[in-house]
Amino acid sequence: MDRSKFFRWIIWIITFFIIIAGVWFYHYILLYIIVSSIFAYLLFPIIKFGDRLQIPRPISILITYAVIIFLIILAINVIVPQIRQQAEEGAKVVKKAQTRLNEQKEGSMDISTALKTIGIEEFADVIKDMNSRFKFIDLDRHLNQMLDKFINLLAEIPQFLLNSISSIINLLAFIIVIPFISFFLLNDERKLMRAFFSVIPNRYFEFSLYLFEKIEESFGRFFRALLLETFIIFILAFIGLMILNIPYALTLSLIVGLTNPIKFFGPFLGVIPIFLVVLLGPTPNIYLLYTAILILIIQQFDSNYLFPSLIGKKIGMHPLWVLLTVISGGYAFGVVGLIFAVPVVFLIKTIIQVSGKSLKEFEII
Amino acid sequence: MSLYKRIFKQKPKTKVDTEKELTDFLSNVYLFKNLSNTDIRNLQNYIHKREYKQDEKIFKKGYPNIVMYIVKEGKLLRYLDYDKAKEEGVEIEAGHFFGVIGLFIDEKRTSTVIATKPSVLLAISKRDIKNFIAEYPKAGAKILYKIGKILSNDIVDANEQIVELEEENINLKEKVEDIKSEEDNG
Repeated sequence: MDRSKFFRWIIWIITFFIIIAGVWFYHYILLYIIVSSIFAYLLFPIIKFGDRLQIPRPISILITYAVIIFLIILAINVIVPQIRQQAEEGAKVVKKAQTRLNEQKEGSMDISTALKTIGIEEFADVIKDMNSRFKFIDLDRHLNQMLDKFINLLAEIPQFLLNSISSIINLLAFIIVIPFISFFLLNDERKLMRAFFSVIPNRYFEFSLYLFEKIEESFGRFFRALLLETFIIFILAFIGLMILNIPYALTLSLIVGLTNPIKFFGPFLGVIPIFLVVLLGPTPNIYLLYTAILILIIQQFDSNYLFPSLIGKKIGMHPLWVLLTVISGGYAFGVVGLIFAVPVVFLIKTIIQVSGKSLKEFEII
Repeated sequence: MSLYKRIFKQKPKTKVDTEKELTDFLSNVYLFKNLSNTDIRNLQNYIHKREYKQDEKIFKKGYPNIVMYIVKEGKLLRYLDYDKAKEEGVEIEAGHFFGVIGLFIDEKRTSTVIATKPSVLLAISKRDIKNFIAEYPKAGAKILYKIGKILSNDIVDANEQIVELEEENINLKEKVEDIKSEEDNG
């Protein structure tokens, strides 16, 4: 081995360790970078519109930030008090049910009296009836177990909120840092792109540009469609619940909208709070049927018309595959997994598909 | 140029210098001659500067057509059918551009381009040009008009060549028939 080659190897090894050290040093803020990128990505169409009007980028970014802050303040002043009031009322109902249940729990209690206590009398009768008819199932014992779990869960809510305070502080730091990073990502977007492509060897230059554009095109469309879909579903659910005159319509439709991106399970998760409100509140129980029909209609509209038209075509994943992906995501990463499993798998699928095709086209493989 | 050289052996040149040099160069390229300086600086944001060694292939016939190039320095040859031996390539010199057809139709590369001298090329992707035109429609219209002019000239040239070749063809056919009749007679 001649001297210069040896020297080159040494430099490569040092570089390698510097990169490893760099990754280790910065890995805590990896999440910051990812979230900032997503944030910047969402704002990008607006900034581009600003470019078209010949507004310098820093100014259009700052204007966009100002508008967002204004909207947030507006939301805090108008929407949040409503949600808080609704949530507080809801919490009161829950609390009342909980204390009453606890009181009764001292003595032995069967499920039907428990249900009567929290005001779902018709349902209690149904269960009593079923219980007497199907004695062999021992419905009472099963339901009692469920009841125990439910009470424990309710008791954990205040503790959960307390635990959240430290994470809320973390969240605040997060919220302050994200706009900073996003600002530079948006402002120097072209420079970053050029810097990235300038280190790619000539042989792979066109290929990588092609790959990047293709992936950005199909995934970007998917991602934006998902957000728009969430918003539209929220509005539709809100209108529907207002027409049905269900209390807490705003909060409930917000939950419906936010759970909607979870494929298959989302609508079911979103409808649970509505059912609880109908059951526990003054609304007649027949509204369970009405709200179920409402959510069903919205769901059908979404999956058959809205999402396909937003994304322009089908995402090309078999429904069974989507289902299994959602389940696996839930097992592996909890709620985050439920929401992000399908987009991430879709992204990886797109990368593999596009790169496989273009690797051949550019004769790299 | 290898990744190693790209990272460790770049010439020390300040950024401002190279950017300004690029602006000067671009404003002298026929395609961008009537653009304002602001337009050119905006356009610069989309340009990737690539350096090629002698005999390095820029692209090959049949590759996806997604990038157009402007020659800043050096010399290149374009081959319509590279694999055919002894084909004479068409020279591409500094200030010229190539790979422009892909902007308008989804055609694969119709020729192979190879650097015959160490060359510096300015690359703009098809999508970025579309973005630029959408963002700066006036400047975009000027560029498109220039491209249309150049392509139209190419068509006129090609038509003239076709006429010449047809005449040649007729002459050759006549000669062949003459020879044939001579052979028949002889």
